Amino acid sequence: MSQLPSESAALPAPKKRKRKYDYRRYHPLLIMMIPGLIYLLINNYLPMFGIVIAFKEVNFAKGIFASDWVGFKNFEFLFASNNAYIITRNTILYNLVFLVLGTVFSFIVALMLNEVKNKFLLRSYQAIISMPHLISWVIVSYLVFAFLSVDNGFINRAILPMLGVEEDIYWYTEPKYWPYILTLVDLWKRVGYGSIVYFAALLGINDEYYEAAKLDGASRLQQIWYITLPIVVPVIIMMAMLQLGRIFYSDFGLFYQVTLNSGILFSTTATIDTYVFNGLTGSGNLGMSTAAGVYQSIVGFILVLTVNYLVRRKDRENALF
Amino acid sequence: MRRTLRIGRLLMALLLIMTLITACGSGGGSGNASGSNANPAPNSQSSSGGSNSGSSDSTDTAEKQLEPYELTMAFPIFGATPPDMQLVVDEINKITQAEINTTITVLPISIGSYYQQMNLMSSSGEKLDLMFTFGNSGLYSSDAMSGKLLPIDDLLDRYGQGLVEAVGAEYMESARIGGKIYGVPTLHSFAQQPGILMRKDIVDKYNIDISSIKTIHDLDPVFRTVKDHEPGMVPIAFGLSNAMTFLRNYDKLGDGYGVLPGFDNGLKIVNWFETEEYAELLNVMHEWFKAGYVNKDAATTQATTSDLLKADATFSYITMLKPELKAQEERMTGKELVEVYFSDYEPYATTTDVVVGVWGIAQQSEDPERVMMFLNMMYTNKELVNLLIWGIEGKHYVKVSDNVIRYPDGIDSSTVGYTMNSLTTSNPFIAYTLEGEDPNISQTIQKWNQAARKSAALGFTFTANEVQNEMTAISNVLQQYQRVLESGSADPKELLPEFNAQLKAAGIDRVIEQKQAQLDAWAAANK
Repeated sequence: MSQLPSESAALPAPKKRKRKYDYRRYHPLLIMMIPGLIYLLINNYLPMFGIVIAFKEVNFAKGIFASDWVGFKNFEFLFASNNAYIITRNTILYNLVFLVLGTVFSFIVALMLNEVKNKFLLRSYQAIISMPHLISWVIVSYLVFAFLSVDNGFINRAILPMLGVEEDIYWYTEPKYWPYILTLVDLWKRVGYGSIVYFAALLGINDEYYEAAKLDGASRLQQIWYITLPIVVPVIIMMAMLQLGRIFYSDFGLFYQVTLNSGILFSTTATIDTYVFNGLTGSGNLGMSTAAGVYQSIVGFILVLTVNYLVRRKDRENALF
Repeated sequence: MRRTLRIGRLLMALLLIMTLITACGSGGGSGNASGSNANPAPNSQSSSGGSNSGSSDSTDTAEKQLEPYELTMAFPIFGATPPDMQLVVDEINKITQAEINTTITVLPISIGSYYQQMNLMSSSGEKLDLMFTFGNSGLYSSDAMSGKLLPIDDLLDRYGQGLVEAVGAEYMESARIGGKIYGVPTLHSFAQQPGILMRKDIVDKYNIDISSIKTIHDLDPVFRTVKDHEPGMVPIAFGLSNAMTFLRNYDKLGDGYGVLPGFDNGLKIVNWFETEEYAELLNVMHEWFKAGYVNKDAATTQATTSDLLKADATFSYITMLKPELKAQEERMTGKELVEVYFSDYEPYATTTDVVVGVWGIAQQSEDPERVMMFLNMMYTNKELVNLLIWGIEGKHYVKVSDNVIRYPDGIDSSTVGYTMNSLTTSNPFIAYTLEGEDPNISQTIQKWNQAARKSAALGFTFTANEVQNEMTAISNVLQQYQRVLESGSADPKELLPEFNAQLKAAGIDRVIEQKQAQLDAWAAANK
């Protein structure tokens, strides 16, 4: 696999030449790394001490580290109710659907963008389709509301009458529609931005491959299948893996704002994040909310390791680490 | 070969990270970067040590000469910080410096992040002396139990006599949690009675006879008139809160999971959601919804009922009435209103109604005694209270007569440079009243408070520490069913049994059991 010659050649080469790094040579680069490392340390590693909060009953008078240990008591609420199954199922299934559909659509959009040769049009398309990514969920929720409002919604007022449906649909009290609505909204918001990464990968493909294929009489589809796909697969796997690590986190804005947190929809819209939020906003219990976060991180971490292991067994080159 | 290299590299990386963590862990206590995480333990120790030595000092010297002290107070604000806040604080400082040699620093924090900020300040041991907290949803009791607030019984005895008198010793007891008082409730009407507020112009237009309205069952003809003649307006609005939030002839004992019917019931707690009355009320709401009396998005709207009335979207809403409420709501909605108290309910004072907002002393305060002296002034010093509520004379208000003021010319309530939300004002009873409002409102409220019937459980506060898991599950079940049911949006026939089954599964019986045990213990201790 040497489609990305520049990268794969650069890595092993110095190793063969010299066993030790020439530190003096990399001096400037190493110094440039320091701010980033410090940031990483302060922002991503130091807060990890907060994990102890998940195992404590926080008492501010004693301070966090001196508070009493309570073992796994803070975790119990996640599994105590019969909602545990629903929220876990919703979180994982939605994320899987988003992952699969999001990747597929992003990739298709990237392929389509790749065919646009007019520079000006390309820029405009890119700007337009990545716009939704920049809109906050609160605003998206109002856009959705403009469609779904019972009294004044676009669908109830304009589209349903056109289809000959007389009766209003109470969108915000009917759980059965929401898996589709949420998927649609999520795709609308994410696909354009997601396609940028794939588009960049497509741009990196040397035109010579295509020219050679054309000479051999390959059709457009065959070119995509035999040239584009194999080259982009590592990027897809990497992106998918990054998302898999967050499979136990739901997009809070999507599930809380867009549904207007309507209780009666919970059977199809409640996820771990909204459950924790709804359960703990009143009590403000630090320990329990931390416990939920720790649980999500650990499951995500295990998932990433497992998937990477599976990928590596099949195809070592494509594994992330 | 290649594989072992990979694993080796991974291990190295992990090792490196581990060393970094441990290195920082050991040095973190003194490091700046980790201040927020690693500091609280030593800090809180030193601050409690400081307060101990401070207290022994100031007990000795309290009557002689007070050391200068800087007092930091935090409270939530609703909207932008008033531009003249600092000017007012400077004026306040003139009073406090003369009286107790103390300068005040205020930390107005936006309500949206107030609770998180308080958590942060408490856990990092940041300087804070006096803080405001909310009585509802158990915040005050959880602040007290988690050690954010100091118990103040002794301090009240020594420096808070005037304050106790202003609040009323009996009502002061409402702030007692697990035998100790952790804060001082703000003053307002302590008893409430459900009723309805209606737009006066429409009442007059259709000659609605308000004397015929005694209970919610008399509302049907009124609503029908409005619905038939006022297109684009629903007769009654359900917003973030709805009618059933307020139609209570029971003491909800804090969270409403397990209530005391009739405010007594021999101190026997029942599950309100399983009662006949609850089911009946749900039916009424559903009838209203089906008849089109209620806004269709009642189950999901994020607007408040007064917002809806202000926007001409509704004719009325049901709420908990008390003497000062009509004027407040009129100011908020900009419409003239008519109030009707439902006569099948009586005004009762419950812990929940008394402890709405609480001023408490933060655990990290370096001189709790001084804070109590200031707190006492906040409830007794007329000059200070007027500054807190109305701002500076001549700049933010002018006097009309002895106790009545108005805004200066060219300024109104929305352009004045200083305002204070009524929720956080300590003692409005000794402050001026605004021109055009009932100048005797304070006396009216005080009479109302004295005359109010008191719930048998007045003073009892439930602490939910033992049943946190159940509470979390229940609050999710309520989130799921309560609003759609109580707004009448769904047929209670199918949904109510499901709701109750879910509540049972979430463990409401255990919560009620626990609450009953605490209530019995409280009753025994207060005999």
